[in-house]
Amino acid sequence: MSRYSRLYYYTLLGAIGGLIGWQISNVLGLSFTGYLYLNEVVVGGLIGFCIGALIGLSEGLAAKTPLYALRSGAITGLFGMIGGAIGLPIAEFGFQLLGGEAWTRALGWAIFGGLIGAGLGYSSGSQIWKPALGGAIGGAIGGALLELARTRLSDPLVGKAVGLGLVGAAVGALIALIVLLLSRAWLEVVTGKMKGTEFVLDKFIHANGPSAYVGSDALKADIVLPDPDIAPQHALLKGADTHMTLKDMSRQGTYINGRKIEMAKLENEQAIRMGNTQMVYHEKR
Amino acid sequence: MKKTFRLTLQILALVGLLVSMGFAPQAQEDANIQITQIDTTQFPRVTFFVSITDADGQPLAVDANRLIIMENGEQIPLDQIEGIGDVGPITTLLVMDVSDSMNSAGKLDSSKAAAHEFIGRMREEDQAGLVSFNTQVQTVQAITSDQDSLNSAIDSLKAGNNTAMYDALMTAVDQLQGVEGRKAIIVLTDGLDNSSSADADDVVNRIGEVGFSISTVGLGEPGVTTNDTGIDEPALQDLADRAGGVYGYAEDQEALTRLYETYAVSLQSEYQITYTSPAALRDGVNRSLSVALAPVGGGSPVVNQDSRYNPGGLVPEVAQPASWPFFAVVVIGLAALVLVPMVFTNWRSGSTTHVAGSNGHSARASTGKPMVKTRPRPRIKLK
Repeated sequence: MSRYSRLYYYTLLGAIGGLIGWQISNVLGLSFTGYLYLNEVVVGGLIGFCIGALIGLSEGLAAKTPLYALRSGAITGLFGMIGGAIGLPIAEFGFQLLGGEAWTRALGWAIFGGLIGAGLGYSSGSQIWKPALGGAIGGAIGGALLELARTRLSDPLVGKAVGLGLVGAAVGALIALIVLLLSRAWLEVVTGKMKGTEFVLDKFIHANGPSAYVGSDALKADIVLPDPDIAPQHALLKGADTHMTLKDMSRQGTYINGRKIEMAKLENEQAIRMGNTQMVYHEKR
Repeated sequence: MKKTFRLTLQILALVGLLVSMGFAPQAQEDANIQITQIDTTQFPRVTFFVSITDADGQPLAVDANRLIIMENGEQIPLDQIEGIGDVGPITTLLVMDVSDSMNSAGKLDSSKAAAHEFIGRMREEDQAGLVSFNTQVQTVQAITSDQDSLNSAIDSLKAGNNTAMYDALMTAVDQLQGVEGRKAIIVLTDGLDNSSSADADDVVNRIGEVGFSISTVGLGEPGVTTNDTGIDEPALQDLADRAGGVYGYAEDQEALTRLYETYAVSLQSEYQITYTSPAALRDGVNRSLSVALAPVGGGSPVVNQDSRYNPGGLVPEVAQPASWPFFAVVVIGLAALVLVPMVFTNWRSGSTTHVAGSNGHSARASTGKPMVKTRPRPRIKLK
C-alpha cells in the first residue's frame, strides 16, 4: 500500500475499529467490576486492539497476503491493546485530576490516542513518536468532537458512536499523515501484486537501532514480499545514521541498479531487485 | 421627568428593603457545613464526610436527621440514603516542620507537646503517622494505631536546615492514597517554604477534587519579615481552603495544643453519609454535591459551599442499550468504502493491459481490441 492510500485505509479502518470499540464499551459499560480503573484497562485494551488490529490487517489485505494480514493484524492489535490498556486508565486519571471539565475530556482522549499510536508505532516501521503524536492529535480532535456530540446531539448513544468513530478515524488518519509527512526513508515495490506498496524504514535508520530482514516468510521477515523467488530471509537492511546498507543473504542474489551486490550503501531512487520483485529505495535527508 | 422616575425607583427600593427586613425569617443558625472528603470508588454508592462547626470553629452536634443531601440541586430521597452516622476510623498524617527556625522560642517543644495531645485523643481504631521536613522529607513513623510508637517518634524529632513543606505534603498524600475511610493531613510550619520542588497546585492536584483534607497550622510570628522568615499565612490559608481543611494560627504552646485538640475533636465529630446517586451512569460529567441543615422551627437552612465529584467515564456510559442495527449499518457502510478502491483497481486491471510505449510510458488498450501481452517493464530507469 502506498503512503497515500495508507491515509485512506487507516482513516476508514480506524473508524471501524473505533465503532467496534463503541459497541464493546456499550455492552460492557464501565461498572462490570467494582474497580473503575480495572474496567478502564479492559475497555481501553479492547478499543486499542480493535483500532490496531484493523489498521494492521489493512497492510496485509492490501498486499493480498492472508498470513501477512493476520500477522500484521495480530501484532498491531496487540500493541494497540497494550497502548489502550495503559492509556485509558492514565487518561481517566488525568481527566479526574484536572476536574472532569469538558476540555479535559479532549486532553484525556489525546493521552489515550497517543498511547494507542505509540503501541502501533512500536510494531510499524516508523519511529514511535510519530504515530504517537498523530494519535494524540487525533485523540484530542476525537475527544472534543465526542464532547460536542454528547452535549449537542439529542441521542447520547449516537453522540458516543460519532465520537468514538471519529477518534478511531482521526487516530488512523493522523498516524498515516504524520508518517507520510515525516518519513525519511521508505522502500517502494514497483512490480508484482504488491505494486505500489511502500515500507517505511525510519525505525531502521539508526546505527544502534534494529535492522530489517527483507524476505518472503511472513513470520521471519520484517519486510514481507510474497514472491517464490525470494528467500525467507533474503537480505538485511541496516542503518548507519547517515545512510542505509543492504546486505544480500540469499543464494538467488540481490541486485541494485542491475548489478549483483553482496553489501552496498543505498542511495535515493536506487532500483533494487530481489527474485521477480522490483523496488525503489527513497530517502529524504 | 427623569428625576421623578429615579426618585420613584429609590423609594420603591427602600420600601422593598424595609418589607424584606420586616418579613425576614428568624436569624440563620450559626453553623458552618463543610464536605471534607468524597469517596466514589463504589459508585453509584457515594460516601462522603461532613464537618459541622459553630462560629468559633468548634464541632457542633446536630441531629443527623436534619441533614438534607442534594445532588445537582435535587434532594436525594430518604430511601436512597443508606446511612448517616459517625465518621468511623480516621487516619491522620501529622506533617511537622523541623527546619532550623523551629529551634528558636521553644517552637519544636511546643509542636511536640501539641502532637502528643493529638495522639492522646486518638480512638482505639484510629491511625496516625508522622512525616517531618526541612530540606529533606522523612517519614519518622509510618501509619500505625500504636500510640507508643507515635509518641516515641514525636520525641525523636530534631530541627535543622531549610523548609520544604510542599515536598513533605506530596509524600504525605502518597502515603494516604491507599488508605480507606476518613483521612486527613495536619501540617505545621513556622516559616516560608523556601526549598520545595513541588508547589500548592501540585499538592491539590495530587489529592484530587475532594480526596481528603489538609488542615494547616502556622506557629510563631505571622507575616513575612525582611529576612524572609515568619509564617506565610495567605499561602497556608489558601492551601487549607483548596484542600477542604482549615487554617489555624498559634502564637505559643498553649494555643497550639488547643488547636490540635480542636482538630482531633472536629475530625472525630464528622458525619459519614452514604447514598445512591440518582444519576447512576459513569458518564464523566461532574455532579455538584451539597448538604443543608434543615432549620429547627423557623429560619432558613444552612447550606455548605457546593462540592463536586466526577464518577469517571472518559468513555461515557449511556442509558440506551447497544444498538446492533445501527452498528451493523455503519460498519457495513465503512467496509464498503474500504472495498471501493480495491474493486476499482481490480476492474481496471481486468479490463486493460499495460503496454510499454516507445517513450517508456504505458499506454492502454481497450478490451475490444486484441491485447498485446508483454512482460511488464520496470517503471524505474536503471542507472
